[in-house]
Amino acid sequence: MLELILWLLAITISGLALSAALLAAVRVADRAEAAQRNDLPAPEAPWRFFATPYPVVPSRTPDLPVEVLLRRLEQHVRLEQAVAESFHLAPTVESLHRPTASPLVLH
Amino acid sequence: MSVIHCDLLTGLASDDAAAVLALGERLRLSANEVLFDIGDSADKLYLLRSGRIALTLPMQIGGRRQDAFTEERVPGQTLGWSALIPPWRFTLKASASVDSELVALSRTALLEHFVAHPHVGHVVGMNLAALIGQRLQVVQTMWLREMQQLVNVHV
Repeated sequence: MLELILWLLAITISGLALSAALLAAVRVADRAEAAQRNDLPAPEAPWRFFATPYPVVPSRTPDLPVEVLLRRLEQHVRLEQAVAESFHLAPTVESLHRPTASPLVLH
Repeated sequence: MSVIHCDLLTGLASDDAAAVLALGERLRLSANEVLFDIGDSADKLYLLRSGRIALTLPMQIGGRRQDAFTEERVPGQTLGWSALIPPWRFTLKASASVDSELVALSRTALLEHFVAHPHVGHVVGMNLAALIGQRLQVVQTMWLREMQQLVNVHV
């Protein structure tokens, strides 16, 4: 009788030990897998060469005729050039950043 | 053209300046006529006698190539100094804003004259360096202002 009890106890302990070992093995495997996942770089959005790295500000005049836009560009360049030339003659921080009345500059 | 008011010949004696001008040939352009285009071989330097010459660069606007204004030359100013700077290719398009008259100086004639008259070559070379340096500083300033504008919009 005692032998039977010991035998059942041994089987039970062995079963528990085996279960614990299996559970520990599963946990180790899970941790390794999780660590491996953490090592991988986070998925990123696909890189696009021509993508703007900052939010695009919508044009205030989206339907501007080309001729008008070219005239505004010319006006802008002339005004900026005049300021740049005056800066060149008397360079100061103030003259470097002197605003113009260019229609293409946002104030 | 008044020799005194030509930026390339500033500092030369009148005789020396007249001798340089004598190397050139007169050229007349009607309004909107193209003097040279971007990428053309640059074998001539131009001094503007009268009129106005617009310098432009191509931009893509609305899916089409458009000439965007870059600079304008007025009487007494030099244009086309790519003729004296390797690789001797024009990097802008030049066209007459109004009827204009110029003096065209060939690179070959100029360089031969400079070899024969080194003091003239020295003065013209220094004037050319001053013109290019001034343009560089103005363009640097304009570029910085554009970057500042970019920062103002996006930061």
